Amino acid sequence: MKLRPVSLAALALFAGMSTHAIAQERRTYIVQLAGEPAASYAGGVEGYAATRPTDGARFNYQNDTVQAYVNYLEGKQRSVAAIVANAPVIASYTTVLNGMALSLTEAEVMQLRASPLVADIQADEPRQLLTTTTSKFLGLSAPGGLWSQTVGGNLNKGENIIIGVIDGGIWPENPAFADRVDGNGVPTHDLNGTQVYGAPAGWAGACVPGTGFSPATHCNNKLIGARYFNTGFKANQPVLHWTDFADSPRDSSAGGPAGNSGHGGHGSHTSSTAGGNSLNPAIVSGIAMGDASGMAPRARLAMYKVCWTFPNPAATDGTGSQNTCYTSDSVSAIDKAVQDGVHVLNYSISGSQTSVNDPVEQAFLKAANAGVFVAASAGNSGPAQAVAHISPWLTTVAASTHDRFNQGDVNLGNGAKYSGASLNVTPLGSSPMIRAEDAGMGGGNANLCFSSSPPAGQVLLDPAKVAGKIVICTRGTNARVDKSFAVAQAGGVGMVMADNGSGLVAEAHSVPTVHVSAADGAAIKTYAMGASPTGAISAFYAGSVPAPVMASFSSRGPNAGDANMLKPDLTAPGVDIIAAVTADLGMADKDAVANGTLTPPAQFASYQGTSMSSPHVAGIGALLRQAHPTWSPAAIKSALMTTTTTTLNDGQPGLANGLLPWAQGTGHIVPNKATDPGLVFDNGPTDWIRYQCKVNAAAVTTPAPNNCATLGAIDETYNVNIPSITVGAVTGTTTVTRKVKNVGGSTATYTPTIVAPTGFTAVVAPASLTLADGAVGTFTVKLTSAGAADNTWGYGSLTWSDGTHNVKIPVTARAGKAITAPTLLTGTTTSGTRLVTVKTGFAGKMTANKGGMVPVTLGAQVALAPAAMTSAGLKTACTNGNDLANVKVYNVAIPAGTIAARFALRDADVGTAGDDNDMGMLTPDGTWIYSGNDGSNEGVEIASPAAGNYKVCVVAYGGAASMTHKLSSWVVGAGAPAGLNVMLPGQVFAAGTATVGFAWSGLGANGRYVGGAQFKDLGGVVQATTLVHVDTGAAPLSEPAKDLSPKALAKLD
Amino acid sequence: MKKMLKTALAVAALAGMGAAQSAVLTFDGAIDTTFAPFAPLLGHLDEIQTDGFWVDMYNTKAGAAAGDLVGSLVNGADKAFTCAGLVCPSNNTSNYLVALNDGLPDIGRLDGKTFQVTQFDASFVAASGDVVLPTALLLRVEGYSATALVFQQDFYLPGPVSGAYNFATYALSAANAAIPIVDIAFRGYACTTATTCTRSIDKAQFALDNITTAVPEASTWMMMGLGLAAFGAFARRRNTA
Repeated sequence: MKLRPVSLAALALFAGMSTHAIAQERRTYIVQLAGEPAASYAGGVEGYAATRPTDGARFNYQNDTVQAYVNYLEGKQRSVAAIVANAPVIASYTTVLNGMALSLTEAEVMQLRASPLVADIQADEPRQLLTTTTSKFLGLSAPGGLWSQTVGGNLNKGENIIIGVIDGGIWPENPAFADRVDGNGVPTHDLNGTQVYGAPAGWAGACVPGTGFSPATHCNNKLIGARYFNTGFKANQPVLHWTDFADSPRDSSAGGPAGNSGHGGHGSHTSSTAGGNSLNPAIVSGIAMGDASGMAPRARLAMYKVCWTFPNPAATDGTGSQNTCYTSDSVSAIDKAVQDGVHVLNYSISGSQTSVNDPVEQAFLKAANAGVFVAASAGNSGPAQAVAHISPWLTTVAASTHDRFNQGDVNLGNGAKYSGASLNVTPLGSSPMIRAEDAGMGGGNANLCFSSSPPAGQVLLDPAKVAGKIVICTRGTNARVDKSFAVAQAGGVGMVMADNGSGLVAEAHSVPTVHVSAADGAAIKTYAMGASPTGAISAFYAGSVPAPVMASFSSRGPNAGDANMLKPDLTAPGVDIIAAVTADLGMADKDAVANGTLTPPAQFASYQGTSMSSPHVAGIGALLRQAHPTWSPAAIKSALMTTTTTTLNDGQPGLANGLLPWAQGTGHIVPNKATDPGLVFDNGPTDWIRYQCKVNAAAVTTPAPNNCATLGAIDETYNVNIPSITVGAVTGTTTVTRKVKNVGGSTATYTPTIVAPTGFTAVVAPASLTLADGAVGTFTVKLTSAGAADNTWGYGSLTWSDGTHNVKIPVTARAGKAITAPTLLTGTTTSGTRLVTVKTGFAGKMTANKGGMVPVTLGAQVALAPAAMTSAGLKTACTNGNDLANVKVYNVAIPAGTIAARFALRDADVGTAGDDNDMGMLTPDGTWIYSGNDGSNEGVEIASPAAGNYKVCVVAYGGAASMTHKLSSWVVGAGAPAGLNVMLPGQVFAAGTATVGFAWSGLGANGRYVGGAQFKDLGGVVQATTLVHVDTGAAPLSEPAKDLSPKALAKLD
Repeated sequence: MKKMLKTALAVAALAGMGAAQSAVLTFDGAIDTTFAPFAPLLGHLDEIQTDGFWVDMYNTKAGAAAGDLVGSLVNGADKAFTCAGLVCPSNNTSNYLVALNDGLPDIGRLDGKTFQVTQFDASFVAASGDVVLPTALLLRVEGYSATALVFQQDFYLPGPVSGAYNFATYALSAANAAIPIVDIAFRGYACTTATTCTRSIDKAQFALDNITTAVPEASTWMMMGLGLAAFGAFARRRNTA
């Protein structure tokens, strides 16, 4: 007889089985196998030699050794595929990822998880594209600049370097991609022109035919490769939008009628920015803008198209279509690009903000191991903390302005003159002026100048008041170009747009327009309130402005995945970038291009986005690769980062300020210095293995001697040898180690100058480093907390100088809490256990408060009318606190002692499938916490919130005409319902670790629960909080990242 | 007092079941957690009962209080979740016992009679993020009679191999395996240098499974004269670190 005759094994089994219906629906998953892919394989499998290229060499896919190993990997992949024989294989990867994309049911996922051959399984996710005279701004064309230097008899313009661009395809008709020039040296596709490019050496890639794309016509010795990848897209999206070209590397069209138009241009823009020909005359909206050039104008280009447009009537930008890039296709593209032999890759596509285990990030690691330099976009979700592509092997690029400024003037009747941004080509003579505030229908306020459907508090412009006048409108809420359209519609003849602090933008408008600063706008408005105000608007002319300034849209750090590693890495021009795009074609013209009967014209446009800054860095990376063929990708990244200059103050508040490393990384690139940096902070495959052994050990499947056991994990991620020092938690004293390599060409002695981060002391050792050419030296920086405020970052810098080279890196530190515990634990079972490690900075008894598990409270259904809004827009609406047609404001009082407050939305709780709701939470101290995924799986939460009134705001971003949602909420107090138990060690130690146990039981099936624990120091002060989410319902919700495209950036103001 | 009550109840429950034969503690069968209220988490002074044995968990540090976390039962099939912030062994998908935060497991027969231990499976368990040496843990196995320590044997558990820790089987010496005992304690010392191992900083953590026991032969039994030890007479010697 037993007192409780229940087997633990049986308990666990039933807990797992009873709550899950095994879903039969198939979804695409990326299945990674144990064992290195070919680009990164350094030996260890018996009978198969290493296939990773040596330093400076290129990966050769056709090599017998590589083919033998690839066959071996394919055999393993067949074994895995055989486990789930019914599952369609979407793609197979061997070069930068060892794995497959498979269409699997949940049951098959579980079957595969059990196989020792399988290392990891992740859902395929949709990602978005992020969206000249910058070569001059960057000094490339200056006397003595990089372009004037020679390498082996060639100018340093990217000769014989191949840049692969993973993007939305290419529009080959632009002269940026021609391999001939006319008598004036201007690039041309005319076959009578002179061929100026030979065949590329060592190129194993191909140009593949497709709809409207013929290799013989469209590829040449400049555009040497063009491939497309759409199996992942097709598995998820059955229908291609009419503006796209089926099974083709051709970039889709951007044209079409309102409500049914496309998204093309992005791939052509990024390609021409990185490596387009120079002397390419650019015309934007009929206006000659001078010659455009890529950063590496002599580089070869290869397009890998992975982004496709599909019809989506609910698309939030009103185009009726959406462009998306599936991770499985991106991995296929990276795999192929490395096989083809690219030197550099550009990836202007959104990515994970928290994980280096994302399949795309892992594929880029293997590409880096094969010597490929990769530039990626930081993201367009700024000024929020949302930096993407956080892997240290990538160069993650933020966006800032450059100095070209197309200027126009407003000359007022009182003789005052104000200058602003303008692309106006038709000067407007003296005309009467009116404030839009005074020009509304029925006396209402029309200051935002809506062309239709004005929101609450706004009315349309009254034609009777506006006809024949210059209207002063205010920036914000609706698109900038919608305002000039509203003025034209009401019979106005010109517009002065007063800025709202976001920065001036020169663009084509419906009436002559000058965009002036907020201060100038206020002055002009004051004048316009007087008697008989008049004004005149000039044609635009070339001016210049102080630059660079961080773009407000550029996603900021700190790195949400690892507080010990700076991201973004650096910044480059990404505002008002003029480059090649696709033609805006109607359906008939598009069909004519598709069947080869129409050769479309070259077209240019000005885009902004981190999509635009990333290819600047890819192109300059190509120049450095040409100048220094033996440099590793990490050395190129280091050279770029240590030679930057700071941007100018953008005036953003708090951690979003552009002067901080969270916005600009180490700073703005200075290519002419980057070619001779003096010292580099290098990293290679072994360093990345040791890093992954620390943060992502499951992904390290290499056999000895390249495994974690032999190499060991790096002790702390702040010791990864990157050219920035960031320590997220200095407990007492923290010593950071770096290695530098002398690439200056001769023996040099460097001495350090340290500016300690505020609140810390910093000591550098040794006091000098004398290094022979090629020698590596090690130094340490000892950071000691000296009155650093709790949870506050201090900023400093370290510069090593030999009198010629100044090697500067940011040093950023935050005082550590006395207790560090995981922020979140998750589960799906009605009972569960979690054992976690906590770090402590004191000796004695740690105590805790616990609460939960609290079941969800589902609010009443609320209906809203959709209208897109950015994070900043929703914050403003939330601060105002009034419900709007598209915004619901929930006021929540949080009592003292609360452990956690969480608010969420689910796709399951919205009125129409596909509705896109976003949400944010405003705390009493004004902190803004935002969740803006695609779809409606959103969540915001705060651990150990201060008592007070919180506002939770939901915006109907886009979807059905009437959108409904129900708010899920949980407020976990210390007296909240039981079910969660937390057990602590008897004693903890200074600079120690200990295990804490969490266990919950008795939860209901199909429920969503939140609990948590607050850990307290000897004084009873809460030092860390761990939240527990348990969802006993279906599989975890997918939360696909949404990042604003260049088009959406313009659309959303 | 608490211990006496527990064991008295258990013995009462066992009455009529016949004498326990040699058994392997797998932690896979029925586990009585009456005296481990927060099981699978195990605190100081908690006891679980399985396969005819009791397993007591102790915090051996000064100031120990009931409920201090010193161990847990882990379902190896659910390892990735249970060991969310620990590195548990890779090669065991059954249930096993983990000693945490320098915790000490002590094991004896529910009927209070003597037994022998021939071998057991063990693995080091690492705090996530810790750098672990090639020799991770000194595991000192201590056999007790009703009144005294009767043998002590040291085992060395290795650090990670390919980033993972694995259970391995450790056999007691033939001499030690022949000695009848009334309880056996597993005392871990985490190795912080090549020559120093300690159980004072919460880092001695290890997993135990398949503890194989035998029943002493009658001759040995009679000769040693230990079979009649009263179950209330256990010394609290394992409280001395």
